[in-house]
Amino acid sequence: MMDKKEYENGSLLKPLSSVKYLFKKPHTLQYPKEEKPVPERYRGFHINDIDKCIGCGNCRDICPCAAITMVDPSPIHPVEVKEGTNPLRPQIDYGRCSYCGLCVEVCPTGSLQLSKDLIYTSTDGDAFVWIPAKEQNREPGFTQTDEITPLMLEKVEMPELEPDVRKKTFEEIILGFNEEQARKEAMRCLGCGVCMQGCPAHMKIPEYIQAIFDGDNKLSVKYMLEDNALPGICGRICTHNCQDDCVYNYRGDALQIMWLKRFATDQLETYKDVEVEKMPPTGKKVAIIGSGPSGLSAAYYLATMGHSVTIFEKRPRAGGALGLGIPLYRLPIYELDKEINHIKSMGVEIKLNTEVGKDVKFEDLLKDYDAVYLGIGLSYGRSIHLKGEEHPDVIQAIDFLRQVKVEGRRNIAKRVIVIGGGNVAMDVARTVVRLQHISYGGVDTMVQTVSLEDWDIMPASKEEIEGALEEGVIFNPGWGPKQVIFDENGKIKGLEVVKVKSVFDENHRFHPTFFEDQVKVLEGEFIIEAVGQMYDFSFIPKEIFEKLKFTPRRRVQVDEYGETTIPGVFAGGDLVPTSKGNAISAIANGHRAAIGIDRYLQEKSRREK
Amino acid sequence: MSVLDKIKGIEGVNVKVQRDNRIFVDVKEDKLISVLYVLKNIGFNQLSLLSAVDRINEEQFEVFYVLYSNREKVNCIVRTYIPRDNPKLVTAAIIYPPAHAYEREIAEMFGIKVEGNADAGKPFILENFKGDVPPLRKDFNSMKYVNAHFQPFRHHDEVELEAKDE
Amino acid sequence: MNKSYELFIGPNHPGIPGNFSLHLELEGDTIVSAKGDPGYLHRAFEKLMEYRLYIQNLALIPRICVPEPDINETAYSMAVEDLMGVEIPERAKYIRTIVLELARVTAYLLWMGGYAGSLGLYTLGQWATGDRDYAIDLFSELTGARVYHMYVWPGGVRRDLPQGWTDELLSYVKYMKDKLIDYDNLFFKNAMFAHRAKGVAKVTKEQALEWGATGPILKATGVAQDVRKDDPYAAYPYLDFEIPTMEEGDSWARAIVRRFELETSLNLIEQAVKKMPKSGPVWTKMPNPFKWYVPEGETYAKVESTRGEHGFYMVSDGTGRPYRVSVRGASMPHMFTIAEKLLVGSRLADASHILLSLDICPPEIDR
Repeated sequence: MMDKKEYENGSLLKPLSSVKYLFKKPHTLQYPKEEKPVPERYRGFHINDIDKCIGCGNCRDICPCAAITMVDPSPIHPVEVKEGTNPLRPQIDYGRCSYCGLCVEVCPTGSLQLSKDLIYTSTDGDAFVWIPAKEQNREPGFTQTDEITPLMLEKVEMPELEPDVRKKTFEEIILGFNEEQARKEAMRCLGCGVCMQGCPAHMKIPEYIQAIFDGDNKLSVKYMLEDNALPGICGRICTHNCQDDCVYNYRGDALQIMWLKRFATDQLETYKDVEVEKMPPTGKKVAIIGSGPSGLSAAYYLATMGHSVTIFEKRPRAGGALGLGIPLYRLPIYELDKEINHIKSMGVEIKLNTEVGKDVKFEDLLKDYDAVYLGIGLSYGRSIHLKGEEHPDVIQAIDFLRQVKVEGRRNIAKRVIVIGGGNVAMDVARTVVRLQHISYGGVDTMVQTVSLEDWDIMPASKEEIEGALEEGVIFNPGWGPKQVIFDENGKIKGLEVVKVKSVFDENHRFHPTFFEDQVKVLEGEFIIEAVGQMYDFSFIPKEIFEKLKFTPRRRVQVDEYGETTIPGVFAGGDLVPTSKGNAISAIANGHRAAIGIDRYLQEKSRREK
Repeated sequence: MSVLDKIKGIEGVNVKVQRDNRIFVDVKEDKLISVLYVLKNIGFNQLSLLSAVDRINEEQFEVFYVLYSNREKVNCIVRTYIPRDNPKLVTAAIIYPPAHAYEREIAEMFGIKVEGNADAGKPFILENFKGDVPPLRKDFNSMKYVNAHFQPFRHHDEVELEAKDE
Repeated sequence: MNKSYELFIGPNHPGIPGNFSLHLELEGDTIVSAKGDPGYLHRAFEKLMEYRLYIQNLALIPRICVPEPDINETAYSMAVEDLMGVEIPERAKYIRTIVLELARVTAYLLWMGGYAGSLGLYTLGQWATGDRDYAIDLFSELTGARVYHMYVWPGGVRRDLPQGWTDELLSYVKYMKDKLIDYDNLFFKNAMFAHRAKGVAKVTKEQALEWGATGPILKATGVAQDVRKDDPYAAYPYLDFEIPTMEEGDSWARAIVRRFELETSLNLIEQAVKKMPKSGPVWTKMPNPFKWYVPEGETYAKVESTRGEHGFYMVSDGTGRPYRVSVRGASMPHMFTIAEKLLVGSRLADASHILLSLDICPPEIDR
């Protein structure tokens, strides 16, 4: 290849050939008269779409140079803080920035880009720190792509029973992650903690996911128990607002936080090895009425604070709406027992079959205990005053679900109508599907739901609606029940429904209107009402009840720590305005009330001294 | 006889093959120089790199010699372990002249004494270094050193938090 | 009367390739002893890497070597890939090869300018800097940055080639090949260059091997040792090339070897473009950067730089940050075992010429 000979001796004349360059055009560009085009991928100053940015801070965490700080951007661009976002926006110190673009690569919303601009001069060192925004009018350069991204956009699919299999059995639909799947899903977490805002209990989600990733399930459950006394249950039935706030929603699939929680708790047979801090006994006694999620939550945290706690439950099983209402295919009994046993192991006493007002008087509780907590929930079905609903084949959802789950009811009609479009209606419809398959093999059976709300505003979660559709539930969205139709023998023949014009009035208040001329009849022999529940305070003597104040929306009025207008009486769960009608908000306000009760008791003993 | 067999034949070594041309050889400190001699004789004629790893949990330094045989095209990495308190090593500069400079470096960065190397211990790369702990040891904290000897660096977030605390 | 005197060259001196100081002892203008004094560029790279996530080091490592940053990115990525047992896509291998060879061209051009400057020929410096800038333009189109590309990362490369980029690249290669004739005429075939460089700082084959020389210094003594051939990485096993060698071992031979290396690089780029798969992935998916744990273990990954063997010794303890990274730069032995010996007995006027013919890169010493 190489011919050394020519180089060996050199020549004196050859260098003179370079004289030709005297007559060539120079390479130099005459800036600023001429300008060089800036390449597409140029990595210059940042551009940030402040309205699109959610302030998750992943850019700050990945920055190798610690150039990014999260600050309030209002001086240059006011932000409207939406739910599930942070109000802060990145500010960049260009004395530190290395223009590597990693911040752009990990940005979940894609609001952050680099520009083609890299010229800025100032004699003031502090002038090189600013908040990038659209106001600076820079031309975009380096941007992220979905093909090559350090983020893991795709979720690990959760194995579940096929619709054809699951509709014949009350076995759990969700099979749960195995070790490898859980680690892979946990690996996706960026640890930004935006999800924590969405969770009513503000669980330490990034920490417990990190522990799962590290393979330390015990530590993971320890983190969970700090804010949630029933993590295993929440891992199955939670409404997972955290997942709705996950930054992956902007790009890719949301992290399946709930399934990860379920995985960690499933790995532990009991929680007895989880180190939980327990305070020394205080000698104070607290009575808790109702063993639903809020009552259990309050009991658990009061017990860890050293108080002695007694729960009064009128039914033969603890668990409230969780234990009795949620179908087996979503929450098996053994899972409930595991959590309740853990709470019992903290020293909580649960008195079953003990109805306050009948077996024990409410006023006695006030006397015998230092504080009382009302966690009775909404345990009675609400009627919609449907014409003909007094017939025995028209039943309330909450009674039906309890009969199936706890009392072992298996008989069902061939054609069933479920009134309601919420998650309870879905539970009922899907339970009916299973019963019909067990009783009739699914031949000639039908279950249909009817709801005022159309598809777009149906309150049930997307997963539940999809699950019900897959199992063959028929939907009649946008129809309102009018009356029950009977045949000549007095048996139910069907339900007359009328087309809905609108559900809400202009003030977004519930006020349905109908097209009275559009009417149809849904055929069926059995009707289940799943339109909401009510509380019953008849156990409280009248003179005490008068002192209890309610909010305009008929919820018990409580202060920040769950104390009602009666001193020493606290309330939580679905009774109070902070409830969102789900388990996690009840668990959260139960925990809050426990803190309130603890403060109240401390205050009380200080006064007694 | 392959080069791997030859290495395995050396007395007092523990051989691990990481991949085809990366052979890791663990050797006791007192055997180190003799093993290096043997390795040089069987063709490992170049020393590519010499440095140390602070195995603070095991309370020892791992000193490694990356050797290369340009005939066999194989890298042999010789590792030896010396105690973290009073770390001492015998120079390999007689066998591999480039070791001289690397030994000066580990003497400065890890505080390892190298017997037989007159320059080891003299100031080399660091100038005006005022720390008590040699900088590449694991218990040397860069941020702490910077804050103690220069204008303290704080992330903007920390400054804000401190302001709130006050 | 004491005949000898001390002279400090550097740390800032036009005849020194970077921030580096040389303590010379002279008698008349003959050097009787030379001692290198490093440390002016020490930025504690190895320590800083231990504090950063694996992906964050991407912004740090290219800064170890200014003229040719990509060797650091590649060797670092190869070490991480080796520990994780990851194979990179075929197309990424070719792109890495193109990037490395283009970087080699820029580094040789920069060296050429400095080396000719040390002999008093500044025209070549102007030409080389101009021609290097064309390559930098290509880099900024490909990677978005001019010098610190941060383009090669564990798993492959960060982006696919832009539309039409290979055409621009090939026209640059053609331009450079034509220009090489002018470089030859002006410098490499210049009788004055041969006169100045021949016989200066001569190293024998045995000395070079003993003193740990790699790269052009070793090749100039007749040893065809090159990591690209001996421990092939990226797409080099698929490409056809020869390692240029010379027998003389002096400053002149080293310069001619580098000149032919430059030509080899240009040929390699052409070949790689031709043989590269036309489409396909350029990156193997890596874990989420915040939970990027590398399995426990240690490895040594090396590449060929313009100065010789450039390696990363990496130790992982199974967490998200490297436990220890040690960088092997070719200049460490070149300075402390070779330059210190070669300078002795030479004339002061040749000192910077000798240092540049050894192509000593101070950041590789300081790290």
